[in-house]
Amino acid sequence: MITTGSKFFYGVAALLAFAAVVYGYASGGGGVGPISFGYKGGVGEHLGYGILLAGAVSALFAGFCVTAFRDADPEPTAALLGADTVPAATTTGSSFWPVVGAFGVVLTVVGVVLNNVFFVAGLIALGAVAIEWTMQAWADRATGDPAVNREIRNRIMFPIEVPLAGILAIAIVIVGYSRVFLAVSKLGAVWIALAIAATIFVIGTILSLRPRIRTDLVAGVLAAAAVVTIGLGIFGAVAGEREFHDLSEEHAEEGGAEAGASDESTDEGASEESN
Amino acid sequence: MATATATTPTPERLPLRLEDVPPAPPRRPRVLLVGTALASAASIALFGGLLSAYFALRAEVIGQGEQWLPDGASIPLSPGNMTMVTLVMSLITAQWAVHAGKQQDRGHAYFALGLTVLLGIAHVVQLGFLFTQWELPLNGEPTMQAVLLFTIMGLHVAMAAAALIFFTLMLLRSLGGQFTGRDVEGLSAAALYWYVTVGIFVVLWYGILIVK
Amino acid sequence: MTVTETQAPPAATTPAPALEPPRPSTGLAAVLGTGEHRTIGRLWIFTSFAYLLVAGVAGALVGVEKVDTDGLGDVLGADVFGETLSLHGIAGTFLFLLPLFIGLGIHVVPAQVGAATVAFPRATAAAYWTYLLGGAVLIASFVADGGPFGADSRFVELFVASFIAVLLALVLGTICVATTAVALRTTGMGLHRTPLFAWSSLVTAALVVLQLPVLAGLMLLVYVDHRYGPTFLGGSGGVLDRIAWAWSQPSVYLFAIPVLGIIGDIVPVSARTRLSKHRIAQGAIGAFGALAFGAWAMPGFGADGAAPLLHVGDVPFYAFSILILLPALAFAGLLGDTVRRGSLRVTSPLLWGVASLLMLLTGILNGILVAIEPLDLIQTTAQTAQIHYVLVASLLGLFAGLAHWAPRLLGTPVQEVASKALAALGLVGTILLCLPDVITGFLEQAWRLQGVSGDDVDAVEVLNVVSIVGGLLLVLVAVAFVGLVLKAAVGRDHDGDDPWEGNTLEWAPAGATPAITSEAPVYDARHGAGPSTTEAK
Repeated sequence: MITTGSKFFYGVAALLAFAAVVYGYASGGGGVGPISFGYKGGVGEHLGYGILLAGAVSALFAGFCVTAFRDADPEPTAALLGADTVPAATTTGSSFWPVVGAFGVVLTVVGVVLNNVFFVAGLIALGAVAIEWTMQAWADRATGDPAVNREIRNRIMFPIEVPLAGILAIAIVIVGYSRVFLAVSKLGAVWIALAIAATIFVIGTILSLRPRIRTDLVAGVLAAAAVVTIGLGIFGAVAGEREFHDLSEEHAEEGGAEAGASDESTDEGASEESN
Repeated sequence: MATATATTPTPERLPLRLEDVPPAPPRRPRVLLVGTALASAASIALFGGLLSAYFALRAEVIGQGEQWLPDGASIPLSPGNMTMVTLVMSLITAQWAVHAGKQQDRGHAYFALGLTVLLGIAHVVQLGFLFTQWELPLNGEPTMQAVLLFTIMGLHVAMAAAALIFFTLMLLRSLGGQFTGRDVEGLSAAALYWYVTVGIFVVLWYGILIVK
Repeated sequence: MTVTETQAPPAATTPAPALEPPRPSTGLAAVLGTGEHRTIGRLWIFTSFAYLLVAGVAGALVGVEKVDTDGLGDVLGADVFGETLSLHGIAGTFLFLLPLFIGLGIHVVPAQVGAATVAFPRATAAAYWTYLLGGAVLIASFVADGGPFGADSRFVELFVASFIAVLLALVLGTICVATTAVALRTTGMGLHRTPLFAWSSLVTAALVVLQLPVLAGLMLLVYVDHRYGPTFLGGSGGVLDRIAWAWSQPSVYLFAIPVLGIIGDIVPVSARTRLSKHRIAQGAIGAFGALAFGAWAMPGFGADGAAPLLHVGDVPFYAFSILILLPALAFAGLLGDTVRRGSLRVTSPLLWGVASLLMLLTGILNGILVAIEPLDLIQTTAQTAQIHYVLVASLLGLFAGLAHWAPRLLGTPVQEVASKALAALGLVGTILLCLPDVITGFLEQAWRLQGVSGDDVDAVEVLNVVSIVGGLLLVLVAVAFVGLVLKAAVGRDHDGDDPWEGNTLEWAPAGATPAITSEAPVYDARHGAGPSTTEAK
C-alpha cells in the first residue's frame, strides 16, 4: 500500500532519479551510461550525477521504510499492540546527560583540532554519556512508578558512579593544584596550599554548624570549587612550570668536578625568595 | 524495665518489591524505527555526497591521462574482500537477533547480538589493517587520493562503530529485560541501521576497493 | 522506659511504603536538564535570535564595504571581508533560520498532531546544546582569524570541525521534529490530515536529511585536506565555495519550505474558514520541497582549488529554477481561494505571511532570471538579491509563525499594532535591500569584491546605498520584533487564550480534544462537523 508519506518520498526519488539521467546526458554522458550508472558509457559530470542519484536512493530508502511502517499511522500502530488506540507519548524526566553529551561533542571537536587531551576527555565524556543515557532510558521504563525507577537506577549505578566520581574529583584536585604549585614559586606554592586548606576548613566549619542544609547549596559550593580548581589548573598549565635545575646533572657535576655547588638552591623561585 | 521497639521506615532505602509496583505503560511502537530510518537516509546521503566527490576527482585525473592511484600505492583485494564477507555474515546474525527477540528466545537473542558485535569489531579491525597496506600515507607528502580514501573509509569505520555502539546499548537493555517478545523495536532499529551500514560498505567495497 | 529504635524490614504482607517521587529541578538545573519540549523549543528560538544579531551585524559590515566601489576592501580588507561575508551567510542560515524553524517545530508540531511531547526529547535537548556550544565555537573561530579566508590554519580547522558539529545538531533536531509529525500523531490523524506546518516540517526534514549530510561530508573532506592533505580544495580561501551552494539556487528554497506550512495554517484562520483543497496544498509543499534539492548544483573541483560552476546552462538547472514556481503559484492560488471563500480579518501573522509569500514569489522570479544563461547574472549581485529575497522571505514567514503561535509559545500574543507595522516595514525593507541589487546585477556588479567599470559606477554606488538602507531597516525590524517577542515572553498574563479562533489541534481547549475527522478538527468542533475535504485516503 502506497501511503501518503511514501508518496512524497517516492516522488522525490523519482524526480531526482529522472534529473540524474537528464543531467548525465546534458553534461556529456553517452550511450546508456546515465541509466546504467556508468556500466556502459559515460555518466557525464560525475559530481552532480552522483549526488542526484544518492539523493534518489536515500529518498527511495525512506519511502520503503515509511511504506513498511504504514506511515506509523495511529490505527495500524495500535493494531500492533492489539489495542484500539495508540498509547500516549509520555513526557521525559529531567536529565543532564544531553548537555554533558553536547559538551563531550564540542570538547572532542575542539580537541581534535587543538589538543589531544581535550579530544580524549571528550571521547571519555561521550562514552560515559552513552552508558548513562542507556541506563536511564532503561530505568525510565523499568516500572510504571517514576520513584521506583529512580531507585532501581540508583541502586545499579551508584556503586559504579560514586567511586568513579571520587576518582575523578581526586584527579581534578591533584592535576589542577599540582599545575598551580608547579607554576608558582616554592614559597608561593606553600602560601596557596595554606590558603586552600584554610578555605576548606572555613567552609567545612560553616556547613557543619548548620543543622539543616540544602543539598543544592552543597552541590553549588562543590561545583564552584570544581570550576575554580579546573580554571586554576588550566591557568597553571598555560603558564607552565617554573624552572627547575636538573638534580641528576648537578649531582654528576658535583661528583665529577667536586664543585661546591651544593648550597645553591635547586629552584630559581626559592633562590629569589632567599635573596 | 519495659522495652519498646519503634520501627522507622527510611523511604529511600526500602527493599524494592516490584510486585507492588505497576508495570510500565506500553510504549508507542515505530517511533524509534522512524527516527532510525531518517538517520539512515541521512547516512546514505552523507556517503553519496562523498562518493560523488571521489568519482568526480577520479574521473578528472583519469581524464588527464594519468593513473588514479599514485605510483607505489596499491589497494590489496584480500583484506577488503574478507571484511566484506565478515559484514555479510553479520547481516544474518543481526536478523537472527531480531527474530530470536520476537520469539522470546533470550538466549539466542543475546548470542546473536554478541556475534553481530563481534563481527562488527572484526570489520573495524580489518579495515584498520587495510589502511596499513595501501601505501598511501596521510603524513609526509599526502596526496589527494590519500585524503579521499582515508576520509571516506575512515568515516565508514566511524559509522560502523556508531552502529556497534547502538547494537551494544540495545543488547544492554535486552539484558535488562526490555526488547523481548512483542516489543523488539530497539533491536529492529539497531538492525536497520546496521543493514544500512553494510549496504553502504558494499558500495564502497565495489566502487573504491574493487574498481579502484 | 527505654526505647530502642531499630530499623526493621517491612513485613512481607504489608505493601511497601511509596518512595518519595522525584523532585522537579528548579532554576538553572531545570533548564540544563530539561526534557520538556516547550522549554527546548523556546531555547532553540531564543538562541537563534542571538545568532541573528551576529548575522545582522556581519551583513551590515559587508554592506558598508560596498558603498564605495572604487575602494572595495578598504574598510575591512579583502580577507576580513571574505570572513565577514562567510559569517553573515553561515550565521544567517545555519545558526538562525534553520534553528528557528526547529524551535518552532519542537514547540508547535507535537501540539498540532496531538502528542504530549516531541519524539526523542533528550536527543532534541542534546541537539540544542550541541548547536549552542558548536555555534559559539564556530563564531569564536572566526574571531580568532579562522573561518573561510582565515589566516590561522588551526582556527580554520576549528571552524570546519565546529561547523560539522552544528550541521549534525541541525540534522538531529529536524529528525526529531519529523519523527514527531510521522510517528506521534493521535488517533484519527492520518498523515493526509496533518496541519500544513507539521507536514511542511516533515518535508523540510526530508530535504535537510538529503542535503545537510552532503555538506557535512564535504566539510569533513575540507578538514582532512586542510589538516593533512595537499589542499587541493583551495585551503581556507576555498572553504566558502564549498558552503555557499547551500544558500544558492536551488538549495536556498529549503529554508522557505516551512514558511509555506506556516502561511498555510495562518490564512484559513484569518479567513475564518478551512483551507481549500488541503491535500493539493500538501502536494504543492511536497513538490516545492523536492525541487529545493540542490546539492547537485555545488561547484566542481578544478585545478589549484578552483570551484568551477558545472551546472550553469544545463537542462536540470533551468528546470529546477523554473518548475519551482509552479507549486509556489499553486499554493498561493489555494490561499487566494481560501480568502475568497472566507471572511477575512487582517491580523499581524497574516501580514507577515503575505509579505513573506510575496517576497518568496519575487525571489523565485528573480531566480529564473539568474538561471537564464545569456543574461549572465550568475555570481552578480542579482544572484545575491535572489538569495536575500528567499532568505528574508523565510525570516518574515518564521516571524509570522512566531506571531501566530505566540499565545501558545509565550503565553500571550505579541502586540498586534506594533507587529502589523513591523510586518509592513519588513516588506519595504526587503524590497529596498533586494531590488537595487537586481539592477546592479544587470549592471554587472559582482557579488564579491570586484569593482564596477564604465559609466555605471555612480548609479551602482547610489543603488548600493539604497540596498544598505534596506538592510539596516530589516535589522531594525528584526530587532524590534524580537523585542516584542521577548516582552510577550516576560509578561505572560493570559495563558491558554486563543485570540485567533484557530482551526488545528494546538488551539483545542485544554482537556477537550475533539474527534479528528478532517484536517481542521477544532474548526469542525466549533462549527459542527462540516464536510471533510480529506475523507478519501
